[in-house]
Amino acid sequence: MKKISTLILALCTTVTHAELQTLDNDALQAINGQAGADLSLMLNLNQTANGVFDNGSGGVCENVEFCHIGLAINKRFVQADATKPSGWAENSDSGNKLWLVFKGVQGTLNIQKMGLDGADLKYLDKSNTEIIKPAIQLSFSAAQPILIRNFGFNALSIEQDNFTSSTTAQGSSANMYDYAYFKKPTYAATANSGNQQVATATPSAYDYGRETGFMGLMMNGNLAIQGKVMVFSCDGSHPRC
Amino acid sequence: MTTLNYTVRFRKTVLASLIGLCVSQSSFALEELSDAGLSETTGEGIAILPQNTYMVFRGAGANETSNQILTDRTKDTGYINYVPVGPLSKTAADTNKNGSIDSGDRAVGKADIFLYGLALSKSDNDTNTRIASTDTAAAISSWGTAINPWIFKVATENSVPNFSATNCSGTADPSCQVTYLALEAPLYEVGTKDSAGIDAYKLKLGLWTDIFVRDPNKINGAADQFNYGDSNGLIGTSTDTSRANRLRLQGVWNNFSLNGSRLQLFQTLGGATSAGGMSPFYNDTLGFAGVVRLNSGDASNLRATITSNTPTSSVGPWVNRYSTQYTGAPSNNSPSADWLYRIRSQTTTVTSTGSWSVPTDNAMNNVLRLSTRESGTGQGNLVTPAINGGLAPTFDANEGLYLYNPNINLVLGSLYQPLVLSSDGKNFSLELARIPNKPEIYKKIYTDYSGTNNSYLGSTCNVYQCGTSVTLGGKTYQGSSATHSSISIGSTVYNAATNTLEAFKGNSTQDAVGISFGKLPTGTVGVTQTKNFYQLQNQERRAGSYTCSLIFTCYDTWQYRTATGWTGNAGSGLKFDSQGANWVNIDSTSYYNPTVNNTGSTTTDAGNGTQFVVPAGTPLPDALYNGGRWYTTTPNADLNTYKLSSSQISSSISNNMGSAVIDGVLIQHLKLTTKGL
Repeated sequence: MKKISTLILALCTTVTHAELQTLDNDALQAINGQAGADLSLMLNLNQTANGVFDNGSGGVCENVEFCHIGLAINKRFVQADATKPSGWAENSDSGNKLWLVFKGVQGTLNIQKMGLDGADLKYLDKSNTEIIKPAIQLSFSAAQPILIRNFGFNALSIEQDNFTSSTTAQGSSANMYDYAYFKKPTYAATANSGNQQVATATPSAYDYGRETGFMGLMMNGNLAIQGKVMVFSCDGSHPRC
Repeated sequence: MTTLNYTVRFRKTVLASLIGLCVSQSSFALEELSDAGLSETTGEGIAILPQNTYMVFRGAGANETSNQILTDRTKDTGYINYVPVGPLSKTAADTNKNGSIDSGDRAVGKADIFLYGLALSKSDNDTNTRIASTDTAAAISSWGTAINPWIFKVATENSVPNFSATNCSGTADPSCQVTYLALEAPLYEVGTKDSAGIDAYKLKLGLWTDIFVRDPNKINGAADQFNYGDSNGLIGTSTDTSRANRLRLQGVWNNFSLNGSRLQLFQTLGGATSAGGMSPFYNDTLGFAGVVRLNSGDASNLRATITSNTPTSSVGPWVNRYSTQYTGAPSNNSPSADWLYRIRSQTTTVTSTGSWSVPTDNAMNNVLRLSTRESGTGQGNLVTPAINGGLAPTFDANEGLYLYNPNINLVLGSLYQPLVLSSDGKNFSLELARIPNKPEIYKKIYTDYSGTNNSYLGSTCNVYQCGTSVTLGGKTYQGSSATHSSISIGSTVYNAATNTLEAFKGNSTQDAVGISFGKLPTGTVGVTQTKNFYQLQNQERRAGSYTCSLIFTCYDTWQYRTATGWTGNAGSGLKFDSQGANWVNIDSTSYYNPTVNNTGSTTTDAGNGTQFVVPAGTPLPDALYNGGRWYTTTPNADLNTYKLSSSQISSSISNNMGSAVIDGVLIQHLKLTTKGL
């Protein structure tokens, strides 16, 4: 038996299963409607169970650098340039790569109920033939709103790597804090060059201790959505595609 | 030998089948999709069609019934908070612009913005509700149709000119192919709208907001965080508990559509250098292009009606204005040239009437309204539900800025003029690429309004057209290929031949509406204007002969002007009536100032005539008083010359600012850069 099993495994590993077939409209229509499913989804991102940023001792964001999201856009670098007020000059080909970093990304999102059903839609295709199109129907009820708690981010900031990259080569560093998206400077009680307060000399108790950046965004509430959304494939026969 | 314990026992037939399946399968492998392969995609995507839908952002709390949600607006306290992170920049804090932050600078704060109760639904045409109160009235029955849904797709466009000096060699030129990700709203239908998708043109957006001035030197949540003054030199320390550091605003927009809007996300093409005002930052980076269309609909029939009637005139009674108080003899003991008068006036009033009627066109329901005044007692000046809890405020029903029938069509870039993001490491910029000096690109953008050169392909996106129209399933829809933006508010005049839009300027029977402070009056408003004319008359007497009596007293006597001449000497005393003095028209008089208050008087005719009563008088409207003289004025024989003009009637609607159009806007190059982040 062991040998047979081995044989089966050997046979199966040498070939690849791939009998996926195109599901055409006819096949989908042939399926009789059955009651759909009600889904609920609870997303808790970087927060404690009561919707507060989990940056306390032992919390997932105790080290806030792990609660960042960084986005880099193609061909956006800076190179050191003492003639510029900021000390850096924009460069489109090489230099320290720039990242748009969302800091303190967090939120609790509770979709209490989302109905998942199928529905048929009719329209005229490109050849003006009426076709019946099966669609996914997602439905929401205002009576069971989407609960949004402290959903957003604490600060949005432009950061740069401490090493150089170019459009063709990605640089690297052994120190994780050389990567832009791990940087976690915070505003100090008094102005200093490290926390970007040099130009201001403005006392800012509000910012003290916050991660640096220029804006944060936070959503709170019950998003009451009523209705349904048909989602269907817009294939080449649809006049809009 | 170890014994194997199988948890699943295979039957031999099953086993055989499995082996059979395994060996009989042909093998496939995933292949890398090359750019060239992607560029051949025809543009398939996901179609999205919302139906029977509305949404409103309620305060965090227990679930509510849909009836509670739709009828109770006080719980619209779900919010989006824009958190003002980072100290104020020097640019913001240096208010007197002397290069440093010192005692001459006012204290400036940070903006803390709370956006509440965002609601999107079907319009109920009420400018003071953020969502309709019943399920049927609030639900957008179908936002688009099956043939014209929302689409999220990826497609490739060939022959998109790049920034280099070389033109595209053809559709297969890979340096001229852009694959983009697009989110497209349903297209804007031309002519009579498909009833299935009609609600997409009747959207309602409602929200309200509290915007605070925050003391930058108070921690979040401090009791006095908004008690910030604006004293000089006290940034971060100025305190003023009486200042209302909050802007509370409600926005309601009825009957607009997003149809025809499109956002594209793509990698920009290359070829740009620093020459010719271009920038290498345009090359091969993330590019955006958008057509944002927020249309209310056609406004070519949105006209207020002006009616001007034939004026009427009425003649009032004679009113005494002046009489000498000098009832005795002319100056005694010497010959005199005294000359005395009575004066009266008769008023002819010309009344001109007209009316202004608000447009009856349905477009009057298409309103974007921003208002600030709360109704009732209101709430405290520095509270907001996100911080203090409590309810959403109620707003006054008629106050605020009303924008009637706004049509906003913004073209922000294209695949060959992308919107790109840049940064110097701290600040960032949004830049709409400069149009290069390359005919292949600028001829796609510029418009030849004379229509003589059809190689210029640009056109304006307005509510009537937006580039080349398309036909889907027998219905015509506006395209999204236009290159120029257009914004109109209120009554417009459309020239289809040149595709240009103008603000309606009004004529003798019609008036423009558009921007209004406070709600426009409803129905018909009467306008009345009166104009007064004054006929002046006087009676005269003059000193007569100089007579000396027997007891050596000498005096003058009076002579009175009658219809035929002067009377003989009539002795002393006031005898206008009894001597038959005649009223005669006069051109002017210096004895009465009609522009000031006058005290009344009564004088008795010594010859037993009637009393002459001069009433106390307030300033007489329209009296012509010039150089110390009051002049007779007479109306024109043709009263139609006093007919109210359309501008006189329209100016009586004092809160109507009329319409506004910004048309054919082409963004040649735009760069917005933040400072001091």
